[in-house]
Amino acid sequence: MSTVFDLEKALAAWRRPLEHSRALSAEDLEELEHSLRDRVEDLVDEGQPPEAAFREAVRRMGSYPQADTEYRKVYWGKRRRRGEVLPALSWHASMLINYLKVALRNLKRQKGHSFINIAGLTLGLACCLLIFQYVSFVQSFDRFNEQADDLFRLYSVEVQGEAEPVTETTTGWAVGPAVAEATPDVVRFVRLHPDYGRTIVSNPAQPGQVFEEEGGVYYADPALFEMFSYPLLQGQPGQVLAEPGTVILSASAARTYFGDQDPLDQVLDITGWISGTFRVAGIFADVPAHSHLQFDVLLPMDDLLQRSAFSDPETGWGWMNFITYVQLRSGADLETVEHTFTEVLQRHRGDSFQAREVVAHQRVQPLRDVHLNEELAAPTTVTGSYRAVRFFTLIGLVTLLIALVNYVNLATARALRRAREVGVRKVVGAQRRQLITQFMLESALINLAALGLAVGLALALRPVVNELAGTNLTWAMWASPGFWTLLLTLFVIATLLAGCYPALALSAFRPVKVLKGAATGRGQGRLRQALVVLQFAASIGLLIGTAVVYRQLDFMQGKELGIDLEQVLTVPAPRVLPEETSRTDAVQTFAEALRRLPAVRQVATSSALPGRGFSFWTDNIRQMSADPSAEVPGGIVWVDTSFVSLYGLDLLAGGPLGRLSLVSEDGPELIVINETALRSVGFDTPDEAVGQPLYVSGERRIAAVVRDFDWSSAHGARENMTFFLSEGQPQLSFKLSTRDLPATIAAVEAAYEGFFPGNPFRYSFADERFAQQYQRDERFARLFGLFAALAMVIACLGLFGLASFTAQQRTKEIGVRKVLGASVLGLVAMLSGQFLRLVGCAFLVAAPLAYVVLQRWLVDFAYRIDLGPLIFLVAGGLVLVIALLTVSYQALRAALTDPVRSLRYE
Amino acid sequence: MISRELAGASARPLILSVLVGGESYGYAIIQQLERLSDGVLSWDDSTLYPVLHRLENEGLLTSSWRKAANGRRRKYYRLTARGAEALEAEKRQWLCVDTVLAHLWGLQPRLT
Repeated sequence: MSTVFDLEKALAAWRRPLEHSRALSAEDLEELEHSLRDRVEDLVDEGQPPEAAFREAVRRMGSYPQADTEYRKVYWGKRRRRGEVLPALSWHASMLINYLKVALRNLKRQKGHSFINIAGLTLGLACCLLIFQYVSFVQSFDRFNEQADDLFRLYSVEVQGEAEPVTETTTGWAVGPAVAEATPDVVRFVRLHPDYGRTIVSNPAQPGQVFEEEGGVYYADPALFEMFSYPLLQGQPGQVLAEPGTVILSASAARTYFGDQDPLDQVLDITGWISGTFRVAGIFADVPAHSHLQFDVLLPMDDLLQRSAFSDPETGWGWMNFITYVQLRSGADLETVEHTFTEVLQRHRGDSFQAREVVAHQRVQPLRDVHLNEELAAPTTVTGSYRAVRFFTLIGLVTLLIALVNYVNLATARALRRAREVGVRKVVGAQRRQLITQFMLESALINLAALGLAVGLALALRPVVNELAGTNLTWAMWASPGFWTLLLTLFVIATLLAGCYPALALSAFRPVKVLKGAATGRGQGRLRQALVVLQFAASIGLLIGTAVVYRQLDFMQGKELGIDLEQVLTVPAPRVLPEETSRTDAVQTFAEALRRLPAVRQVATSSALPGRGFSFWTDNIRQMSADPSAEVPGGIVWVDTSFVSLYGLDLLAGGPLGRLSLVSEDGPELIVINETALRSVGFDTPDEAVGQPLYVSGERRIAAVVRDFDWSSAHGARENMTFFLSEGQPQLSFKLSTRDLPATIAAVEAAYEGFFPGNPFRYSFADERFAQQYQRDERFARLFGLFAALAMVIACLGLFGLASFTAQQRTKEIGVRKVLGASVLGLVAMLSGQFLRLVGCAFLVAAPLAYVVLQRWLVDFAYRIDLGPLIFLVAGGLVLVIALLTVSYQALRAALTDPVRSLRYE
Repeated sequence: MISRELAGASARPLILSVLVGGESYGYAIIQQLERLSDGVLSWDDSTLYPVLHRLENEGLLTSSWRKAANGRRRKYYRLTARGAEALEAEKRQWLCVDTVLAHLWGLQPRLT
């Protein structure tokens, strides 16, 4: 029996799906239907049978999805025209509310998963926030200078033959004026001379109050305030620092010295490189934390140049104590400028370069590069590290990635449980777009909650990070729009990254298959495994990194120094002395007096202390008879004859160094050199060298040779060292014999104050000072450890969630296995093994990568540990154990479930 | 057949031009264009109607429902004053393109 074609029924069937479309109003549908009827009529008139005519007409109508999108494009216009905007909006709003409701229900129903998701993301985001805050802080350095783009610091590069180029960020005082004269490209220049060491400041109106400044006192040219944007509160840029005998202070320094009084035109007694009474001529706002120059007291450059040894014109080029900045004309060609500068340098120092066969260049470093470029660090300025910035940025991103992977993993794992929900939704007419919206909204909701918590956590952790990293992250960052933009970007990216995959994968389920229970998600399983491997590879990498960083630190700190720093108290010599007293005599007398204290075994004086550099005294050394081109750089320290024995240095030849050795029979001055210097200048044995002349700033004679020891941290190799024998040097060292340190220190202090009234007493222990060199490394290690631990916690959270999901999914399988006689241990092994294999894979991925990266990190240390396999295996093993503990809880719980219950569960 | 892109670009001037001759409804517009182009311009309803609605949103057309002779309700579209202006603008652009192409292809009679 053939069925009769019924046009009305066919039309109704055609209309039904379109009736659900929001884009299509009833009126639009009617219009379409009439169009359809018209065409059918025409086709029938042409002689086609009604059924064929209907099919042809529908075909000509165009496909439904296409129409839907086209109509959607004009959706809001239509609503507006018809005054239906509000109802349309309310429909959308109610859908949104529905999405939210469903999302919240889902969060609530699966508390465990929600907790893991939110906790993981919170930790990851907080980590990210802190790191980005730190990065944006160090990158903001010196940007407050309005003319920052035109400001440069001078530095010179010397290349001697095949040797590594030597860079120097300090210059002589004559360089600034000379380059400014040489080219109109230099708008102005500023020289700064740190008041190296300590400065004593006192207010004569308040006798007895003496302040000691270290590091914040500079001599500067008047152009400083015209060049940099440090606001002057009192005084005019260009005028302050121009008048001799004046001083300008930061607002807080003025408060320290003068309290609430008006500081202007008051006077201060200052004892530094030059001493005298200075009148306060200006006040500047406290230097911001993100300035590489940090100063509180500024004195006129002219005063220093006229009233110190610098008044000798010979010192203008060779005494490189000055930091010189130039402001170049906007758009000046840097290559031309550097070329001109180099010519100037050659004109004045060409002879000395030629004699040493050195090629020298005078270069300029942009101000914005100054803070972070640790290769070019000037004394007393604040220097960060590009490497640290890159390292931490990477760690921040990796941590966030681990957290996002958690979300994706758990969401796809859960997807199987939600497959049925998706199926039902699709059957009752949900479109893919709506499902995607639903899943994205869930991701957004979780991310929003995590972000809120992360902001709180980051705020709470800020003091901890400041403590660990030695930074000064302030609230200011949270008020800047850039920061909130970053936060928003982070939120959007995290939501998209975390939401995209589940949204697309889930919404693509075919309802027929899903509802039949055929969705197994095998492909997704593989993806999840890959992501877990990625996560754990990152965690293992970070953990190996932490272990290596700590081992290197331990190694450096525990290294045999060849110098005995224990029980050595160091005290700087006084700076303020009565007139007509020579410091040498004063120190000598004081040292003699202290030798008589029972607890003091030995006293020595020296110009510098171990771990504190050479106090900028370096010069070139060579054998007297050798050609100047054979010169090598060497450090110079003036020491008295007790120094070598007090610090337990090992004499290889020459000596003993009694008082007599100071008195050389009208021959050249006597010096002691170390083994490295011995080899560098070409002696074979220590005995051969003793008594030989050596050229170091003139002719000297070698009195003794000491075994190599570490003068500075293990970052650098051992250097050529020369000790000039002398007396009454500015650093005093006391070897103590007692355990009762407080009493001894008190006795030394009492003696100090008796001898040198008006000088604050300060002391430190030689070993502690030496250890301070590793402060930066320690901070780095602690931060690294913190982030590695966080990453590990996040990854384990994810693994925990995943393990619980797998256990749930295999409930029935486990039940059957138990019924058939599987043991609990066997089941746990089966369930855990699956994950441990992944961790093993992760180790294989992470270990070589970590090896390569860490090798590169270690290159920076002259003395470093070997990267043996042990450190990798221990780190890998540790991660494996942590993962095992995480997984086995879930596995055990699943394995212990009564099979009767698990099998009844349907 | 003409390409999708050209069909999309020309829909606007074509519809406006058809309606210059008086109000009309969707199916009739399709039929008329098909006839005038000897079947080359043969649009799906899903192409035409959204364009009509968009032009209406822009205020170039107005619409009203009428009862036709056969008793069927039809939505008639009519050109507004702004629509006529828009058509003038379209016309200038299309004639410009047309002239240039004709020149390039040597279709234009030349005096030399």
